[in-house]
Amino acid sequence: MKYCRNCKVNVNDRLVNCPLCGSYLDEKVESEKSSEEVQSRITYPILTVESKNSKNFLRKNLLPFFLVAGAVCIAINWIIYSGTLWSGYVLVGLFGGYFAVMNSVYQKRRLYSILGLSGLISCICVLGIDVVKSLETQGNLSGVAVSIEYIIPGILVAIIIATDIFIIANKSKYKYYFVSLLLASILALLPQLFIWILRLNLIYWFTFSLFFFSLLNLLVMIIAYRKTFKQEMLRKFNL
Amino acid sequence: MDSRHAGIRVTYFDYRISVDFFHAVTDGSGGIVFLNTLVGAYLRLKGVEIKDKENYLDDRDKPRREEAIDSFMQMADLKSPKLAKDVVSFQIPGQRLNNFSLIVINGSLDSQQLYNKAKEKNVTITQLLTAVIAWAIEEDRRFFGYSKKRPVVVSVPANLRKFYPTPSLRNFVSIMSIHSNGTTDFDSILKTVKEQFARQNTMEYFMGTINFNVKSQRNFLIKICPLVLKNIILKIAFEKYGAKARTSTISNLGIVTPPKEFNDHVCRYEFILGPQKREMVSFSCCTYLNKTVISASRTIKESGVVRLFFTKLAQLGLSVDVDTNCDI
Repeated sequence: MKYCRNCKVNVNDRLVNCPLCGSYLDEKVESEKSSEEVQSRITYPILTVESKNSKNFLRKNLLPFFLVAGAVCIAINWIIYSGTLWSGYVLVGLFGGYFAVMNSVYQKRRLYSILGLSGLISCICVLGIDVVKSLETQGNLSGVAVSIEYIIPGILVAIIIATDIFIIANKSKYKYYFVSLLLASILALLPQLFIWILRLNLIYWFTFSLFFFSLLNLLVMIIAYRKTFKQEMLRKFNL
Repeated sequence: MDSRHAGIRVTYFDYRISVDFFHAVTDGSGGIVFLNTLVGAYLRLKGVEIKDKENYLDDRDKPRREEAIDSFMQMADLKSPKLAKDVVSFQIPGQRLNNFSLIVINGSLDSQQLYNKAKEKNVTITQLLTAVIAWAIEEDRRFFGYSKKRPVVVSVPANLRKFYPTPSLRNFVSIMSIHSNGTTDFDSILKTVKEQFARQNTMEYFMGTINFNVKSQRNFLIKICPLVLKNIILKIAFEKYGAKARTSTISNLGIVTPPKEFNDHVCRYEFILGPQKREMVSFSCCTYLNKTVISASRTIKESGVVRLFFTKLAQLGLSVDVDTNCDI
């Protein structure tokens, strides 16, 4: 064992500097044989630490950067208004880019999580673009149509079918896809519900079909995997 | 190795076997039983028969239902109010290491010597170590001139099995929050720590905290709230209130008593607390074969508090053998 005169502690032989104060260790002291034996067996995997990491800089500052970029775009659009709300599209893009793309990359999300999250974010972005376009052209929300009639139902039916295929292909992973399937199914009901409740004058054959497809799909999945479904409902919702 | 969904992870290196636990799975006592069972299984494969069942389960046995019961639910009386009050505490500043790297410095000392020193001061080993930690943080704060606005709070987990014996291997701990008195006088800090231990290390104090948690668990609205939402809300609440409630932690596992057959094959036990988001420096210790190993783990580059801790132990007359996993 070595001895640190500064800290007054014994230090393992293999160390060159004291781990507490960094002093150079050059003295060896006699210690018990059993203690020497134990110390010789104590080894650690090599750990290299860096106090600064450029990757972390981007990750830490991404959200503020996106917020500042959005604020600057709104300011420029406001000052140089030319009848177009282009900053609205930028904001939608930044929102989608951050939550759907960057968040999934940094959180290292798995496919089943990406399916559900991307579906939700895509629907919000598409609706956002439609709202901005409606405000630009008509000055109110009456022009919001295409997203609810076709695009959102299209995205959701694709996600539901993709999730079904993944579940059928790998039944043991049902519980991982469960939340994405449930989320997509609930979202798929919303366009038609909005049309009925708000009595919107929209083309509804796609949303109507999606409504019943989603209900039927959910029913089939529950019946086919009822045991796993019960376990997941208990786990996720305590029901 | 992607172990993000694992509650338990087993790794090895040379003569070392490590088991990492997510705290929702079990506490220190349960963790020791698992580790001993694992080591016992290896020894059995090498031809060593384990007859002594101290803190050890035969892995060939079928698990018993009582090993997984929730002792908190059994113990709660739902009457005593919560006496603990969380405050925003002083956080040790420092330059964060990347990727939550953990630097561990292990200090090994003779447990009889440590016990004698604690007895001389008329305190327990945990109280002595808590006082030394509080002193080290106060001294570091005084030396670098950090703000004295927030108190130094040392969190001390207590094993509730001494109050309510249970065969369960799941979590059964409660936390004491020990406040420093804001000075760097070691003897006065030790006196304050001893008084707070006497006040908090009681059934009534722990029962209040348990009742608070069990009531929240039984609340119907909280029960039916989707897990996704609960995860998000609890994370935010912990970040805002829980994580800032303590400056450091000292977790004393006590004397590790594995089966007697381990004595010829196991030379040391180490107990290390994992990296925390806010708590930069943590301490833990356990005793085996008359050797107490105190592990100081940190996620910052600066070793000020850890250095002060071990040098204080040396000043108290204890002989400390120090080792580390990273020569920084």
